[in-house]
Amino acid sequence: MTWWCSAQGVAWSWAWQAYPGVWLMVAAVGGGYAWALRRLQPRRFAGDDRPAAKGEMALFALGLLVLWIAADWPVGALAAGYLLSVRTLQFLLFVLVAPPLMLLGTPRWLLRRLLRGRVPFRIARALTRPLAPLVVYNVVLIVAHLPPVVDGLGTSQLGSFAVDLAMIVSGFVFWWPALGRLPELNPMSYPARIGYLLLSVFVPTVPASFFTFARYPIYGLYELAPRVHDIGAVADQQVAGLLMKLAGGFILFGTMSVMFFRWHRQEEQTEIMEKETVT
Amino acid sequence: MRPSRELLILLCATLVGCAPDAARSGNDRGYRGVVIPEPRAKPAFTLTDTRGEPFDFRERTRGYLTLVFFGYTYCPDICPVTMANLGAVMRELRPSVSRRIRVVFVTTDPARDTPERLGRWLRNFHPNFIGLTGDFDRINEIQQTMGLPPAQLGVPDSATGSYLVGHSAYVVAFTPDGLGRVLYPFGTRQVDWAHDLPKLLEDEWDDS
Repeated sequence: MTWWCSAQGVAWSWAWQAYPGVWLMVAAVGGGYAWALRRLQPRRFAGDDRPAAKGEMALFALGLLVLWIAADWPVGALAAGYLLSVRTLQFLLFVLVAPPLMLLGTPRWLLRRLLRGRVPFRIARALTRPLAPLVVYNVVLIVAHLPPVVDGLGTSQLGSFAVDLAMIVSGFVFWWPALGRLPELNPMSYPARIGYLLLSVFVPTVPASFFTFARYPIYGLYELAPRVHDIGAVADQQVAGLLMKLAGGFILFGTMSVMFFRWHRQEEQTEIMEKETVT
Repeated sequence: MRPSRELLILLCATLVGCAPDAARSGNDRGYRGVVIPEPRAKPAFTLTDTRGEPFDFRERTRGYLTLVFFGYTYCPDICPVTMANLGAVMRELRPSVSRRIRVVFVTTDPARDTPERLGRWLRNFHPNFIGLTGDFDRINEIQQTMGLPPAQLGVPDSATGSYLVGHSAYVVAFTPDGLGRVLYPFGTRQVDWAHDLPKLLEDEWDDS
């Protein structure tokens, strides 16, 4: 029985295939979120806690939808065993798109509730500093793109699941300090966050450059996979490289721009408040 | 009686996974393919090419490094991947190397692979690939002279009439001296071809 997308070595077909493991993951995360909003939401809110806004719920639902699309048929199946370009798209969705949407869609009171224990709080505080998340993100990125990992783990469902899960977790870890959701964890200032995101742009250029400029296919799994619509292995690899560089860069630089304008607005507000205090 | 689809899949898997006796020996010449300990002479046969004309295999490939593969154009996996990889490497090789190589694809499904279809399919991979067709039994005899197992036709699907063909997944490399010296199983990568093809042209073989 197939429960998670992995390389099957059979000719690609557009006939739908079920992956119950993906549904279980989506149902567990979505169900857990809905349950928490219904059962755990406090009657009174203190500080900056607010009831879950419709916008937050929409962001979380969108993030979960992105996660589902990336993991399930056809994106998940094509990514697992046929096209490196689709795997790169999946990587971007797993790491750079779904996690920030889901983090922004989680109300602060729920985050605080989730981090109520001493150990979770300490982990969250450690991950608010930039070094550990940068290391986790870059190590997972590099390891998940090593040929022995792609070729070795991609053919088993468990191996494929482990790599996908590592990518998703690294996405949450990476975005946690960049979004700075909880003030009590002393999040980085906006300029520091911009610097953090800027630092994270460089390592993905390594696999992206290999994909774009290699003469021959890097991964046996994609080179020897049955062809999908006659797309050649090298052309597929080059598209993967461009996607990693351009789409990944677009997301990160786009986020940096938003942070820059937020920083600018924050500075303006501070100035106005200072002037009002003086007068 | 035709074998079942399951049997054919099993046959394909066996052919991919198990080398002929000759291929099981070690490879101490630095090739990525499997060196045949006792090289085989290039067989003499004439089949029909993609223009519908007779093609004398031994005569027309004399003096070239010749790569021979038996497969069929309706093959869902092994044949298109093998030919696509060979085509990609042929385009990357120096012209001084690639023009000394002939890639010959012999169909194991002559009933469906007409010369026109064969030509059209092969041009997807490389314009210089040679496609040959002929009588099914004759093609099987040729395969056996090369030490490869004969092809087997699968049971046609009751709805579509399409069928699979179980066939060897090896590419046989004949060096310019006319001897089959190296076998390449499915799984040979482009980087392996790029390593071996110039070497097959350059190496001197001591058959004594």
